[in-house]
Amino acid sequence: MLSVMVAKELEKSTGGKLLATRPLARQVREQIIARIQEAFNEAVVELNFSGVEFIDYSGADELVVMLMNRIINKELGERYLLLSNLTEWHRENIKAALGINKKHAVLEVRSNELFLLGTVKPMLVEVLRAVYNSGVDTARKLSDATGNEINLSGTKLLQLYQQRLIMRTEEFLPEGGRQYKYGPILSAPLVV
Amino acid sequence: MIISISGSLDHVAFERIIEALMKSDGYTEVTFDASEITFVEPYGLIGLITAARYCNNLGIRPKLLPPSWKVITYMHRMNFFDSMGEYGYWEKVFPFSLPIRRRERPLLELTKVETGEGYHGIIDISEVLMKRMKMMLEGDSNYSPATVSGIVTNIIEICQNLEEHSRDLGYVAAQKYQHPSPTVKVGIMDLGIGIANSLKDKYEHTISKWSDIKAIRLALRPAVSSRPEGGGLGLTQLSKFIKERTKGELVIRSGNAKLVISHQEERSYKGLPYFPGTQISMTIRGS
Repeated sequence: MLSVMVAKELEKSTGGKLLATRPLARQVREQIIARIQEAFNEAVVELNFSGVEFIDYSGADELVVMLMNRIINKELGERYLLLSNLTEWHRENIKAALGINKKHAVLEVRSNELFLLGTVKPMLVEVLRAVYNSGVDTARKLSDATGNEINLSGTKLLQLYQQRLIMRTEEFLPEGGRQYKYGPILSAPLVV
Repeated sequence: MIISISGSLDHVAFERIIEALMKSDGYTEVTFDASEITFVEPYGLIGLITAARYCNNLGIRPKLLPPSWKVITYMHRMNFFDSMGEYGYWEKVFPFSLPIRRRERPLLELTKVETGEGYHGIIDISEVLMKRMKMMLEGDSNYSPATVSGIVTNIIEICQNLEEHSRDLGYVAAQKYQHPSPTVKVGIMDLGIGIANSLKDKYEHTISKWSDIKAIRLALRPAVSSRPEGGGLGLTQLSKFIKERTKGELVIRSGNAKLVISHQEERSYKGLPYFPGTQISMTIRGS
């Protein structure tokens, strides 16, 4: 996992601890993207907000939402984003930024548990729980657990993967053919 | 021309100032007679400096007749006279080197918001605001951490609108009151292009009979922004914060319209005297 201290990146730009305004957050985002691109083998990127005193809506939009946007658009390769060490202030403003277009959601790790910031379709919340809390890792297992058709289960898992909320790997089956295996970004219980 | 201001220098007084200014054609000097002012709110204080700036832009010399000693010392603490010096003349009645004690400091004195191309101006304001907020509101049981965060965030967001959307410099000030009830008041103003002109190119064709009041209402909707790449967080979140989190009031004036939003109701005013830019007043009530 690539852990990026946002405060350190911020310090390089302003020497301060306040992540406010779009131009500053854009600058910090580009620095972080450069770090991500250097780390070829790290799929999971943790943005650690420890030491960031403040982030406004615009800063949250430019840094978190736009970064998530680029990850989802596969501009940075196969990557997954996690946020950590958020204060109540950070969390509120990141949620507001995620809520404006309701396009993306992101996972926050807090006290060894995962929390979802932003919204996902209600029908996908159960699937997220199944992957994170019940070890469901294939469409077939999800289908068995929920009683849904395997195709529908596969579609739901695919949607969560496309939102980069779960990981996906390809597996070749001994009897021939292949299947996708899904899994948590971080091995921790999800509280939704 | 003399514009007399009496009683409270607030948004009602500011409307009277605008109304009077509309009759300033042909005058070379406007005197703001502040001698009868008894109370000053951040919005009114900024209104006065903005009115002086407006006169200055029109080539009219603004002059101030000072208020009472009590009010003048408050205006000094709010940094009014330094700012007034840029635009007009006032009768100096006391030594302006008068020290300001720490406990007398406002939440945010009259501050010019001039960002230019970068972000440093806003970051500087944010740093002062954070320090003052911590000093004056943290630990005050009347304001929850979420409310304190909301105040800081919304002030900083609206300040960013000045340069980016209104395309003008502006002023911001904030004050905390204990009586009659715990309240924070904030004023932010500019003389820029206003909300209707800012959103016109992108949204005029989507709304019939485009007007200032329709533009203000539109600006409060999520994801509405003059930025080509989107955004639209500032005013939306501000109105949500005032309506849902505080028992306060938000006043947005732009062009010839004004929208007043509280947790209980929404009132709109059309056909007011035209004044350039955008003027915002926030009232946040503590619990």
